[in-house]
Amino acid sequence: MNRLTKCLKFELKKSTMGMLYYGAIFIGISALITLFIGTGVSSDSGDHYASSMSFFMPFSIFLFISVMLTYSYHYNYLLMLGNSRKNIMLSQIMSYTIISIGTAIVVRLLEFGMELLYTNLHYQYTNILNFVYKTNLSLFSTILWYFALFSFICFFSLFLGTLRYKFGRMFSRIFWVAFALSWIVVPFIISKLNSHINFDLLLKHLFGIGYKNGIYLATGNFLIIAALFGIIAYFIGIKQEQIVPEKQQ
Amino acid sequence: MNDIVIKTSGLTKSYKHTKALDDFTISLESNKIYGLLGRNGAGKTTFLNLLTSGIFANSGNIEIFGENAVESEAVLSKVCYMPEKNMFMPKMKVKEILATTAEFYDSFDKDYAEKLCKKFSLSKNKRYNELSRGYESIVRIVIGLASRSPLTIFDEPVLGLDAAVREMFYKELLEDFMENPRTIIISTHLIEESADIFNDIIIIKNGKLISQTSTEELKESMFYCSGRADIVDKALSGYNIIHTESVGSVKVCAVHQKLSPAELKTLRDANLDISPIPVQKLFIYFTDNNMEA
Repeated sequence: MNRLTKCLKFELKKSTMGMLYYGAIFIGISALITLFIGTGVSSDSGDHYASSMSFFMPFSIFLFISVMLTYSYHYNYLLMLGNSRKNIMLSQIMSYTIISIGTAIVVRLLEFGMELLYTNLHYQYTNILNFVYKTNLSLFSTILWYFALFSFICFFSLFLGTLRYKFGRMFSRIFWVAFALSWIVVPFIISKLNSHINFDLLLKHLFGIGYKNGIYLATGNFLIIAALFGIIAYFIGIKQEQIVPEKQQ
Repeated sequence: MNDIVIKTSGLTKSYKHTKALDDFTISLESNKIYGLLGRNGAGKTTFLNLLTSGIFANSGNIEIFGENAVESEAVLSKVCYMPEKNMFMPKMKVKEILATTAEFYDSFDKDYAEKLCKKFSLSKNKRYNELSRGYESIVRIVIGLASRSPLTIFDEPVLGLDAAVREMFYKELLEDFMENPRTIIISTHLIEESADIFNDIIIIKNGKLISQTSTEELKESMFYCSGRADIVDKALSGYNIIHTESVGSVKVCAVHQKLSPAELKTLRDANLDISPIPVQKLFIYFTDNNMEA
């Protein structure tokens, strides 16, 4: 087994264990929300509707947080065990690609289970993707869409993880301040720029809404953005000097 | 002469306005235990981090096992570096850490690791973040010794350990080294108690190499000379005196010069007391900011 494979094995093992542990909690919580509180809504006509939002949202949030927070630990540990930065970064990229595929399949399977459950509970179940793309989508296309979305989230988070490692506490402060401000500032900027840039159109292009086979366009868009973040993270990672995070000291 | 394992030339590393390592050139041989000594901030950890590609040099070359060592997996797979700073994943159990390490080091001896865990009373089911500072050091010691890497590096391996455990470590290290010779570098501040395990001592001061010599030679290179002040002054005229202390009419001088048997006899005949200088004191004199290397 070469060292890249060893790194990949380590990354997959650590990430999968995390996914199973926290994933189980999220599934439990989201199942409760879906069943009792959140997405089961009554329409004016009296029909009951339910959507699948509550499944991929917690997974997305979990992936985003865990990838960003665990990056420094994995990076330092594998460096200490005599691995090159190139192999560490490649193994991270490969493992998050595999995890995105796995998560996409798991989420789709859970949705399928929920669909059966809701149908038996006499809800009119609506898969969020069928609703957005206004068509009955194939299983393959939805799994592909989820894979692209989770890849985008993982690689964006990996990119943020490399910045967090590089800039330490300063990055964390800037990130959370920017995050808080974005709720106020972004709508304002969008409203100001709306006369110059059509954001609605931009989002429609990004998500492929209104296009024939729009789900594939969205999948392609997500994958391109994910690849860009992955490449940037790779180059930051292979040039990075080892730093001991303050929490680890 | 043994093979050269590490060869650096003109190694320089700067942080903002500080030169942590300055034109550092050194060669280390195989199958020796090296003690790496220097005051805080002298550049010891920087040197070790450069050797193991944790950080990058501004200039200079590093060859390990005859290959360019920077980011070379062929080299790094033969180097086990246990840094002073914590690079472990806090939630990992000790047994997981040992299993992972065994996967990355082909020469890792699992049975020996098991034996060491028992010897040092290290619980393998504890998570790393549940360990005391001393047991964190023991994890590093177990990994460093059991890896049996051709080049093993310990940065402050005995931090937080009590005297009895430190003694156990030195004994274990020596025994294992005799059975499985390899190159070991140990950076430490506990000089006096560890000096006897080193074959060679490397002293760094302000990022520069100021001495690399065998422990015996280092001990022989300096001596204390004490006696009546006027006799001491007369007898030591022309010697390289690096430190002087006076107590009443008695004067004690630390002299940096190897004595020939004839010189020793002359000094003793002059009614002067000649005694060896403890290694820790040698180190202090060597790294004294007022002393010119």
